[in-house]
Amino acid sequence: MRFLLAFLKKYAFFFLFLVLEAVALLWMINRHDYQRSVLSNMSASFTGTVFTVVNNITDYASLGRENKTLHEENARLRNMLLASAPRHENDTIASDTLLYVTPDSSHRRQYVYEPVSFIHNSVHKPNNYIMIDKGSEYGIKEDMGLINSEGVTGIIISKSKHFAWAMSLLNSNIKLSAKIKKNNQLGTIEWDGKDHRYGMLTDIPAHSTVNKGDTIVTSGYSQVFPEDILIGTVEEVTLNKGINMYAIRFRYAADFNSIDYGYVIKNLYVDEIDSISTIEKPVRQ
Amino acid sequence: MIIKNIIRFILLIGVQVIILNKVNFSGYIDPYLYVLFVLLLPFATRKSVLLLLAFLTGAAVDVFSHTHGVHTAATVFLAFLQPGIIRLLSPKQEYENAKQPSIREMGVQWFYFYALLLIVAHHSLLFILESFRFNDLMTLAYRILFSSLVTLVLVLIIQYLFSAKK
Repeated sequence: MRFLLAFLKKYAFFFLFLVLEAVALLWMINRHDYQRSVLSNMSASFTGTVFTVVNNITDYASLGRENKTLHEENARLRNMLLASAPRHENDTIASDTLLYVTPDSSHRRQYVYEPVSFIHNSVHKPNNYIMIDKGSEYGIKEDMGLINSEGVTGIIISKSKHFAWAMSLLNSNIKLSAKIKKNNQLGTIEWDGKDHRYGMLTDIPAHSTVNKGDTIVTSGYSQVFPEDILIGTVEEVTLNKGINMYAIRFRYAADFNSIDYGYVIKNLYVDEIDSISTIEKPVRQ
Repeated sequence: MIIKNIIRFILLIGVQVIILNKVNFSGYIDPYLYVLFVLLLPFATRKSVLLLLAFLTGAAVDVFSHTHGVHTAATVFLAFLQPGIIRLLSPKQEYENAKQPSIREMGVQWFYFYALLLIVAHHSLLFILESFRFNDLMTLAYRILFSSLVTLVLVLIIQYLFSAKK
């Protein structure tokens, strides 16, 4: 026993090193469980408060550009309203929403947009995350979509009462179902970790025609995003002869280096859809 | 001494998560200046305390940058190597009268090698753990090389700026 104690004491430094490294590695490996734990909730509240203070200061610097983006978005929405005039006499426009509310049950509304402000974001790490200024208080939950006025930006992965973290599209773990708008070919969005302006679209079969400039949009097959939300435009198409699929490099619609405001998309029927799906859940990330 | 270290801890973590983590120098350059806190801990710090402080430093950066233990692992590794590097660089107990590994007390050349070795060790483990994919080793190597150099330059600049005043 004394020998053992002496041994432990002699190598205490080394053992402590091993223990601390083990804790750090466990933290890395268990990150998904960890996010759902209380500790995450506390740290999100704390870091969120700090980032909000910083964001309040830095917001002033980008007011001019933000104004312009909001202006453009307003114009586009106004166009949408004119283009889709009410088809029924009973249709009304809800004052707090951008879409029509119809008493007709065939026009049931599925998605609600919650405006949020991005308080933390990075673009140059292999795995980037975005923090937003609203959490469970506003009904934000895991697996909700995050967009800004330009296009898709991420998916919510954890939340506290007042804040939530989203996995950015600029994350090596992201896999998002997408399609080419003109011919509805389905593929998967990934990121190779290099340039924050470009992503990869894979699994598009070689028999379809894809050209530079084609639009890539969400497929609507996951419960995260509605159909036809802009993701990016095709930049470069290369044929992967081994599997007869295209590897498509595309430019993100959203400029990840300057995102400040956006919307969380709530799917009102996500629980109902989940409860009736007996097959395995579709790709959601 | 302790208060000075606490202030340095808060300042360096603050600069790291509020400024450096947000600045995109290029795809390859992510300086991690916060290691300076561990580099400047006094020689008299007990080895176990050194490890625990490194753990705290890394964990603080991890919580703020959503990196889940990556910085913790790398910083604990740095602290583990630190006593050995000090012994390696000063075999004749030159630092008997010195209190702190700084340019002022140890000279430019000593501090340069001390910081270089530890920063490269820290950044290597950090970027390997962070990307954890080995199909693009050149990108990984460039990231380690360029980021280490920029961190080293920042560390030396800050040492020059603050060593004259004290």
